[in-house]
Order: sequence, then structure tokens, then C-alpha cells
Amino acid sequence: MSAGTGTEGAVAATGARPFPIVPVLAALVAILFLTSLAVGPVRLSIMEVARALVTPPGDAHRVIVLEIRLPRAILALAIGGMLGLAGASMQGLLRNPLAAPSLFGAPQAAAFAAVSTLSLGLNDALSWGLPLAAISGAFLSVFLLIAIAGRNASLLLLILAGLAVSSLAGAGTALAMNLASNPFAALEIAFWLLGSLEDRSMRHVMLCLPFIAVAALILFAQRGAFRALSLGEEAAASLGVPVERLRFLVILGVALGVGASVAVAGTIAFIGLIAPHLMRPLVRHDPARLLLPAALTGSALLLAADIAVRLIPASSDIKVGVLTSIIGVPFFLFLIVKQRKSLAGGIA
Amino acid sequence: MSALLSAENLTIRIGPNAIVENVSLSFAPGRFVALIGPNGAGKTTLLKALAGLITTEGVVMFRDRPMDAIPGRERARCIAYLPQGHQVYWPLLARDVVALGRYPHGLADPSRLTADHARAIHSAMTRTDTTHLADQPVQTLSGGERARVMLARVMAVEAPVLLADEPTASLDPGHQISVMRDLKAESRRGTLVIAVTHDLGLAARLADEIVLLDRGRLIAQGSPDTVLTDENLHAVYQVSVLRQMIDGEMFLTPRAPL
Repeated sequence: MSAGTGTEGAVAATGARPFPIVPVLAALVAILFLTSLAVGPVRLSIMEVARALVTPPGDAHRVIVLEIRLPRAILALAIGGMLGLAGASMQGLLRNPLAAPSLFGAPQAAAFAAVSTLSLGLNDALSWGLPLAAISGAFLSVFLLIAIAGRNASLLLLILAGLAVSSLAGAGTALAMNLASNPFAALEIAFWLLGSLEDRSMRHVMLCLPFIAVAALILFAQRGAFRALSLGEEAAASLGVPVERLRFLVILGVALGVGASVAVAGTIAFIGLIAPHLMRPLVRHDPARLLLPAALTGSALLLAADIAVRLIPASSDIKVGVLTSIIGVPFFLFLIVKQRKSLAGGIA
Repeated sequence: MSALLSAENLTIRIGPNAIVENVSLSFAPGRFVALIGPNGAGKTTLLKALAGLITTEGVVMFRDRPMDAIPGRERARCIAYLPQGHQVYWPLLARDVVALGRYPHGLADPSRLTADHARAIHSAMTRTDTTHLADQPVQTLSGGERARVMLARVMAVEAPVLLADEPTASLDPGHQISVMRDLKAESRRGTLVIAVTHDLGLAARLADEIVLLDRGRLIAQGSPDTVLTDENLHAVYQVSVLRQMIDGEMFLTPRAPL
């Protein structure tokens, strides 16, 4: 079978990436990160930001940059990245470009758990109560999902079970608001549900970052399996992919990462849907190569949205979660229309 | 004749129904086996069981080891399996699809091929005549081209056993013949090839051995002459057959009143 080395070389040279996508995105994220440190009621130049980072404590600019804007920028970077990665992972698992983390009900359950603590007033007594509850809520939703659908569930069953879990969480959230002890509690819940990165501190960063890091490690480790899954579950299983375990790990990773994100930022929708979709053509639709660019795009989108809400002139602050939804929903509809033909065939 | 792959008293139930009932089979290396039988006979289920993809009553043995004792990755290197339908969910390039056949051998990133992976992929694509399709997304290929790319994917595994579920379904006659011929050639390299097919004519011409299933039971296993008898085919398919000898080859055409 020794063929001409010319053709063999041609087959071997599959790698040449058409576009240096990761460095370009990383540079974009870095620029947006620095911009995020500079933009706000007090506008700073990049030079002033740099100076603020090295001046001694007490300087006003240093306080603004390090204590007010840095946590916010780090959260946008980490949460946006997590949402993009979670979206790409879910789409890889379900082999469907319309899949999003909210499909499995994890963010909704996290929101419900958080809202319950707000409405019970536990948040004042225990300052860590809200984030811990949100993370547990996300976990609980995963276990509930697996209990309903079973570990051998078909994808259709998983999607339906996810819908049930998220509807239940939504109903629970409505009930919590309904029963809220006073109008201020209800208002607090409503604002928190909108999703925002304002007024977050390093404490929030430290709380969600470890969970996001673990989730990212879990999800990145599955990338080869996502590629094999392009051939369907049976073929992937025949290639040695432990499909059941993969499904469990993806759900676990998504619950951890998204739960931690919701805990500190409320619900920020559609980043997980949009980011992978934008990057897919640039990685030749390879679900494995998609993960890192989707995460970086998620970071860039959330950083950009969080900068935008500070720049949009409005009588009261626009929440970043509202902005991503306003941009995201039309995009979601556009995707559905584009996928209409294949969706009519149903989900295998 | 030492068995490469065998099944003993295999019974597979889905719910209360036995889809495959008490089937015992044994296959030697280098054979081209056609697995035939009417729709619903349990061919696909049996093939999946032989691939180690479903749990069964009874034992499937690869060489001297029970299949369920072989870890997933290792099993994947021993048995290549081509499911029905040739579905690919993302518009991957044909070469990246074929490269997935190297996944059980530890190929993590198809853009970084070692010499061995590149050789296996190139060899599989050459044998299926798909090298010119390497840079095309599989979604843009015709049914016949896609079937050949998928065949290259299972060949790239370079496993001692290749199982193919209806590899020629919905292909034109030219592609049906080329796919079956490629499978036969693969068996001549020492691979045990088992293919589910409804094409009795091609099975009679190309297969070394035929396994006939009906309603989950094994009716016959043996050479085409001994299995494709008038009695067997009438009992299973309710058709008679027309046999013609042309240039020393037996051509077989099913017949039933229209």
C-alpha cells in the first residue's frame, strides 16, 4: 500500500488552520477586558488604568479600577466564557445547533434556589446563602433530570425532561415572588433575575471561579468524544466513547459552571447559544475545535455587553442580562428559521 | 479453524420480546460473511451484539475473551462497526470523518496526524477511492460518495473485524457493487467482514459465507450454495429464485408473482 508520497502528504496536511482564530479572539478579549476597566461614570484612558494598577493604595483611580471594575471584568470574562463553553458542549452532546444550557433546566433551577433564599430573607442572615443555594439548585436539577430521564435516556427524553425541570423551576420562582414577604423583596428578586454584573466584589469572583474552573476542565476533557459523536451515539460507542458517562459528565460540567455563574450574576441568556454558532463555520464545524473559540467568544460577548450597558444613556441602568436577551432572542428565531427543514425531521 | 468472533446461545430481549433467540455462530478471520433475512429478522440487533454494543443473554467471544470483559477503547480497536444510515451530524470534511476511525488508536486531533495515522487514513481512502473527496464537507457528497467515505472511516480503524449494517442501502447499482467489492477486498486482507444486506444476488456472488436469520432465529450458516436453497428462500422470504450461470458465476434473482 505504498502510494505516492505526494497524495499521502496531501491527506496528512489536514491541519493547516484556515484562520488563526484563537489568537485573534484572545486579543479581542484582552482589549475588551482593558476597556471594561476604563469605562464607567469615571472614564479612564488605558494609560490611567495601567497607572492605577501600580499606584499605592488609597488612590481614587486605584479603588475604581481594582475594587469596582476589576471584579466585574473578571466575572464577565469567566461567566461569558463558561456560558460559551457550556453552549458548545451541549450542542456537541445533542448534535443540535439550537441546544443551550438552559435546555436542561440548570440555570432556571439555580435561579429558583437563589430566589427562594431571597424571598425567605435568608440572604441577609447568611451572605453566602444565595450563591450556595444557586449552585445546589443547579446540582439538584441535574439529579432530578437524570432521575426523570434515566441514565440511558434518549436525547429526546432528556430534552423533554429538561423542559419539565425548567418549567418546574420557573413555577417555583413565580411562587417565591408571589409569596415574597414584602414588595422590596419581590423587587430585589425581579432585579436579580434580570442578570447583572454591577456591584460585584472579589468575594463573588472567588466564590464562582473555582466551580467554573472545574467545570471548564470537565468539559474540555470531552472534546474528542464530541467529535466522535458527530457520527451518532452508536458509531461513537463503537469507537470506544463511553456515551452514558459522557452524557453525565457534560450535564455535571454544565450544572457546575452555569450554577456558579447564575449564583453571582443572575440569569444571563443566549450567550451559550450565540457564541458557538458564530464560531462554528470558522472551525470547519468541528465540535471539538469549537470549544475554545466558543468560550473566548462568550467572554468577548459578555464583556462587550457589560461595557455597552454602561455606555447606553438611559434613565435607569439597563441590566446586562436584559441586553443579551434583546439581542439573543431575534438571533434564536433566526436560527430556528434557518434550521426549520432539519428540525421538522425531529430529533433522533 | 479457530474462531475470531463467536456467539453462544445468544438471546436479546427488548422488553418482553426476544429479538434474537438462542443464536450460536462462529466466524473465522479473512471471511466475507453476508448476514441476510427479512425485515425484522433481528439482523441489526445481532450485529450490534457482535459489536459488543448491547447487553445480551449468552456470550459473545472475541478470540478467547468474552466481549463484555474487553474495555471500550480496546474493543473499538478489535471491532469496527458501521451503523445504518451513514449519518454525520455536522458538515465535517470527509478526511476528518475518516480520521475518526483512528479515535480508538488515540488520535485526538485530526490536524496533527502521526505517520501511522496518516498511513491508515490514506490507505483506507485509497481503497475506497475517496481521496479526491478529502476536502469536501460530507453533507455535500452524493449518497454513494458518502457511503464510500463512511466505509473508509471503518476501514481506517484497521480492526480484525469489520461489521457493516446495510452498507449498500439506498445506493445505485454501481455503488452497491463497488461497496460490496471493497468489503470483499478488505476480507482478503485478513479482516473478518460481516455485512447485513438485502441483495441476495450480490451476496451469492461475493460472500464466502451466508448467515440466514428469520424472526430472531438462525435458519442456516454456510456457503452460499448450501444456504440460498429454494426451500430456505421460500420459507423465509416467500419468493422463488431464478438462477443463471454466466461465465462460471451464479446469478440469483428473486421472483414472486406481481
